Amino acid sequence: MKTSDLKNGASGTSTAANKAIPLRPAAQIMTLARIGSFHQSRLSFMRVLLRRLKAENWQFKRSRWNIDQHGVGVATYEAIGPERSYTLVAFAHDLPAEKRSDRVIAEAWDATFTLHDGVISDLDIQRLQQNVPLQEAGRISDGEFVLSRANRSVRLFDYVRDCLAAGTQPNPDKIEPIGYLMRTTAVYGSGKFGAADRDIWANRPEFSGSFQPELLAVWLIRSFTIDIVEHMAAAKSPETAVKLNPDIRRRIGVGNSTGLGMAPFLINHPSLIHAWINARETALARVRALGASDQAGLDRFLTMVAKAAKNANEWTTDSPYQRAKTEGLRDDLVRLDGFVRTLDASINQPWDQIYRWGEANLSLEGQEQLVSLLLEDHGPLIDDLAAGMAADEAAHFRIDGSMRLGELRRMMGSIYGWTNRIDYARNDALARVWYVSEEKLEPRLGERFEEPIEPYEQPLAPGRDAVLAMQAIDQWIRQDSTSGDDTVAMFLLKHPEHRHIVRRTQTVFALPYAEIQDNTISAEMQPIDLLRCKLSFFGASKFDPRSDRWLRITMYQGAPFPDELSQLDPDILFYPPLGHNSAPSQSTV
Amino acid sequence: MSWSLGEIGALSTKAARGCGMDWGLADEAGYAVKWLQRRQLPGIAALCRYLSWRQTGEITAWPDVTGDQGHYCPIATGAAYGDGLFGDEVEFSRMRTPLLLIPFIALRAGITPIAISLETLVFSLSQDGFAYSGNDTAILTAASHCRISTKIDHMPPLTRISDTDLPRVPETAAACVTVLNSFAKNTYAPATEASRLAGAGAGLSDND
Repeated sequence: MKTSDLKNGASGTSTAANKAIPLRPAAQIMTLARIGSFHQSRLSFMRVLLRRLKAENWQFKRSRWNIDQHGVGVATYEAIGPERSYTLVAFAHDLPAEKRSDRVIAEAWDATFTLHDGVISDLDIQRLQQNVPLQEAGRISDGEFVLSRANRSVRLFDYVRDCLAAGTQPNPDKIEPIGYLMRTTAVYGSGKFGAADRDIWANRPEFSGSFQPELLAVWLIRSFTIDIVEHMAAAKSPETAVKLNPDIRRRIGVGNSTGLGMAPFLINHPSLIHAWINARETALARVRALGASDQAGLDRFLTMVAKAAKNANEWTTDSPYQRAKTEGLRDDLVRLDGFVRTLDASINQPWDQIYRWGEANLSLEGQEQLVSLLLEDHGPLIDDLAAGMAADEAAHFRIDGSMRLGELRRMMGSIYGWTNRIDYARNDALARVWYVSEEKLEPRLGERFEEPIEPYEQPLAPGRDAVLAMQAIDQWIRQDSTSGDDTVAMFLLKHPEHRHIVRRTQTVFALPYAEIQDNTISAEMQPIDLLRCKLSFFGASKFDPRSDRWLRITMYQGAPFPDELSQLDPDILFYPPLGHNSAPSQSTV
Repeated sequence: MSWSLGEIGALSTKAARGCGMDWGLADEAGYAVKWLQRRQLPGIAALCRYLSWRQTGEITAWPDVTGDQGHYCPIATGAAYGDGLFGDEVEFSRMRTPLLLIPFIALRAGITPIAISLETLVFSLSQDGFAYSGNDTAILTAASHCRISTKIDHMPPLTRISDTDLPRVPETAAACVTVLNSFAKNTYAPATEASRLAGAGAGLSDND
């Protein structure tokens, strides 16, 4: 993609009478604090998936339920599309309470899953039974796309089971703040642990975009979590047990605990991150460029603000960092509601006016919530952008060695100009080291000046590395007046230690949203900002940081289940339904 | 039991890094192994042999005018070739594990086909595919003189690869995977009790 494409994205929808709206500049967007405030939107991958499944009239069936009264066995769920079918295979285990241990050292789970390509045979189930329950210690094949596992919520699972067993429905007030019966601790895809390479399914239209097989698996896992709690209730009290009421059931999603394993992804996939954020920014610019709305349009927007306020009120966390942000968001939404009520629906470019008011008056958390809300009512205008939220990363791999070194230096100075505000001579600018632990083979974050971990440092500090490369290039060019005409290939032969940042520079130069313009190894850096950004693109909600480096989230809370997808609009359901007294001006702040 | 190409590519990168290659070159090692395995050529065996030799072997840097000491690294030399550092006609004495060089030559085998002569073996590359003369043992030769040329007398029948048929890395690669894992281990920081808790931000119970 060339930079000129960016401008076209926004201007294509504005008329001559309207002011063209440029995309928000990368320097404004690509800070950790801003991307760590992103919210789910119409372009989030869970919503893209459910829109497609509904539009293509996919059918779903639970094709096996061989689970005993102790909750042990196997179940399969088929998703049947116009061209292909997929099967979620769920292995249910009887996990002793003492083994339902902390995420970081877990080796056994309440349930383990894989997404199989096609309708599965008993023979394949036997093969998977030997491997899927072992997770990282097992092997799956190119017939599988996803490997995952989940534990029961000790806060909610037994409570819901006992309610249903007694013939009563669980209290929605108990469900809402937790939002799941089971919590996944990993959802692996793309060739991991023997799964199919991404290239095998990348050209299948049902998986266009990002993370579609993984999120299909999670959506089907959600059905399993309901089925297993209803099954356990019936096992406990077959005479009195009832099924979950559909409206209560819909407020149950799938939990997820995510740690640093996900954090390097945003840094390691710059062209993909650009594609995601560029789509979102283009969508915002298209909506802001719209010339006029009407009172009904403003009223629909106010309804979305009220739903977002309800969501914010139900968003609980023990994290002081997130709690302050969420409290600010609640206040922001009250004031946003007040501002929009003062607007005359006939003004020109009302959405742009609302956006600009928000930028001047709201916290980052509130501004990014506003961006998501502005997109909600404009599906026909923006939903096509979801198809572009993928990247051919291999296309960016090759280095242009014929480039003159002086030109590379100018590119680096332009892209990494933001490093001028960082003093890398100070220890606190270099305080952290990203490394991989031998014990879990997962990314971790350590203290450079307190632990002996620097030899294991992963290349996840592009700003620091660019500064070092620019110093080396400057020294090279100073040797004589023509050495700026030397090629990048000549420089890299002598300086292979700069090869990765040179490749990155050439990759991100034409992709303004590819690079986070912040110090990813500083003492002040909040790793959860990286996680939050990625998870918001997945479609997660209720981010609940449990420390500065891992958090819990809820996925698919409110979304339709397979048996109701044909009757319900999934996009309406990703915010909580409004009850009485739910306008933000009346909510508790 | 088999491995995905992505898995083997990532392992190759880590193993190369674990043997001391800079990250940018380690990524090139991953590229080379995936390119070869994609064509069902023994890329993982080649990297396994090269990295094992590299533990004690002497590497020389281009241009080597010192005589007969040391060998060229196929990854560093290949990356430089891919960067365009060399012309169409170039020769290297003493190229170590020259099979690993082939994926980089392929980068420039577009409209003009390229031949790589490795003493008893000739590789031919074009935008349509690849071919080689000689037996499967010869392509894993430990070291050889290497001549790259666009002057081709005779183009042999080419093996083409399809976009959709992605081969797996088979069970027979298990020994190589074990060796590469042992090199990759050098990139992992040994755990301490403090890092076990602080590094991942654990400590708070997730038993919720």
